[in-house]
Amino acid sequence: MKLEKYTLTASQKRTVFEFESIGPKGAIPKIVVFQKMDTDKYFNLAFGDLNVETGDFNDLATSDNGDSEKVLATVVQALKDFLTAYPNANVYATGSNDIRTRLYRIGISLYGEETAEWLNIYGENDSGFEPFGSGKDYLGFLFTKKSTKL
Amino acid sequence: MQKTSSTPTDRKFYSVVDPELDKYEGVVLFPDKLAIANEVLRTKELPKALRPKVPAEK
Repeated sequence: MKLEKYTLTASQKRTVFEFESIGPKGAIPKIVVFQKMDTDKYFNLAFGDLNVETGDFNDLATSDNGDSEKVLATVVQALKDFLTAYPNANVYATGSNDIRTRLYRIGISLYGEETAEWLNIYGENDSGFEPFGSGKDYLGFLFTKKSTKL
Repeated sequence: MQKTSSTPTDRKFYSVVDPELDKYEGVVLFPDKLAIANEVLRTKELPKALRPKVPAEK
């Protein structure tokens, strides 16, 4: 299954990505960042709306632009590009609320076929992490690149 | 906004470099998310494959 994605731009180090969500609410700039964590080789994936006028970022906004699948597919693509640039990196992500985390879980299940070749996915539960299972609810997710060629 | 087209060496990437985004490099844009992530890593057990390897005692 080939998922539709938005055009993605990146910083030269490929730790910051930007794209525009296009829908009934207009063009909404989105930013995806991989923030360096305290632990070596660990990065936090965060994404949200970018207000180009104020320069503010908002990871709580609900765009309702009718394109959530395409947005998630574009975020997954940003993850793929990041892990191509940094193959030894581990990436942690969680939603800004339970509903969004659940949406990510559904998205990850949806893109399983597309990501199975290149991505290891772990789900966060109360005590730690386990290999991702599509029917389970998780608190967050941990991603690593498989050692196979992208 | 200046956008650099993909060069042959960029072919492994889907994204196209936009030097305008470099201003966000190294800036913590979502500090709350980062704090949560650091706390999770500090308190929860990592998958076996990702745990730091402890050298065996001789």
